[in-house]
Amino acid sequence: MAITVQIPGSMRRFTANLDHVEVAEATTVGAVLQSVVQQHPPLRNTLFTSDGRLFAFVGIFLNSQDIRHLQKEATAVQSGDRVTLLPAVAGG
Amino acid sequence: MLGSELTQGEIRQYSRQLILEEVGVMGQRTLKGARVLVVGTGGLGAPVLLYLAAAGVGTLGIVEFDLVDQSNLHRQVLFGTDDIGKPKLDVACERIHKLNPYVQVETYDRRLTVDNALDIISAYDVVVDTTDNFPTRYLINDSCVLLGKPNVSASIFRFEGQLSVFWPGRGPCYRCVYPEPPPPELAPSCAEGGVLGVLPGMLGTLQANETIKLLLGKGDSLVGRLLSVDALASRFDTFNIARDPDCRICSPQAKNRGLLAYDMLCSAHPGMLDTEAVPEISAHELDELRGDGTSILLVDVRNPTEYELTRIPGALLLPLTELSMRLDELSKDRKIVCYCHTGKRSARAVALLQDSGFTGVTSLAGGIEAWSTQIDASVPHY
Repeated sequence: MAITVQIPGSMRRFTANLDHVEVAEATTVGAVLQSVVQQHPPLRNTLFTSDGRLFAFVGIFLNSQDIRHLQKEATAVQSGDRVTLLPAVAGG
Repeated sequence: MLGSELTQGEIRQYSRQLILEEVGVMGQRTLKGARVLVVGTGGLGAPVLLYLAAAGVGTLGIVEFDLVDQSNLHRQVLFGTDDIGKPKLDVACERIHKLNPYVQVETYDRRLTVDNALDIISAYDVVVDTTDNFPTRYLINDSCVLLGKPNVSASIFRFEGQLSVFWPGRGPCYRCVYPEPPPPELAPSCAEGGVLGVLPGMLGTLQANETIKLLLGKGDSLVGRLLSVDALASRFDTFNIARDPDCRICSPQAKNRGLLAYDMLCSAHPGMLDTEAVPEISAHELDELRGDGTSILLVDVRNPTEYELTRIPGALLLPLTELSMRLDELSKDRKIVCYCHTGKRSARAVALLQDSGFTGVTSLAGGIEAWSTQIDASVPHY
């Protein structure tokens, strides 16, 4: 079973309107994210800064946990896990 | 603070809620004695104010400076057609008084700014953030942290929303979750990206619910949790969030704790395009150029759905989000005029094109709205 990455609505224009992307093999959250941007290159500039850091306005959650309070991008993943990208939005 | 004894009228008004054992007379008096500040009366603010007023929150403060626009009505259910052009604050007050005459309303007809935020917020028990922009969200957060006030915060975009309760000392603050706002080019507003009208209704009622629970001290608060709502998928997910030990405002070792220049916050990204110095063309100038046969490539940088809705005849659709990947479709030798809805996205498009070596590029000042007003009234406003 693969790892599922939930794509927020604001980023779906970079994933051919897919609301989730499957990653077949990865051992860390960082590798999952790299696989997602390889599958959908336009997503790279909205997830990563020009020097390759994750943007601070995008929360990355492994299942229900914020990876910043785990081992960040080095956090281990298992088959069946869900990674959610949750960017800050400001509308009211 | 506990409110005064309930009158017979209040008992009748709140009877269905009063008989809940989680509320009761003491709970209702707690609501009566409560002071809640709602910042904004837009899509989220409308249900928040209606439900908090209906529930009998004794004093509602409202910060709002805007007028009712027709484009508000699909989601801002406080307002009706007769209210177009009126101050939102006046209409909101009238609506609340009709709904519940036992509620006091305190109004602030101004923007929340660094100069007034601490004064205004300090007079309330709870703040409900229903604003529509990042600078004000960070200003509210930082003010609430400095004053130790809980902030019931929701935000929406297109079909999705987020909700949490940021309570200093008891859980993370907004900055712990989102230390920085997105760069402007990655943060389209609802005016640009659209929003489903019912979505702020969903999030706003949840926000009112969290506020009432917090005041009553009942139930499980969203402190330390972030609720994500996807209205298209009918999906509700809850994520655990925690304090950032390095948070610049709420961590114990934070230095220089104080308010910032928030307008700069969202424009101070290294490498960001400078849209201040972008050359503009007025609607009249563009009309004259088109009239005298000057060869101009008119580029519409809005979304395809906006283009479908209305456009300036002869325009090429090239959405801002795709522009950097489709530069080869444009000739650097041609005179190019970019336009969008109001002129903000086209300014970014022109800055991007200039950055890529285009020289004869200008942005239509005021966008298609200005074109509609000044040149072609058959182009609808939206």
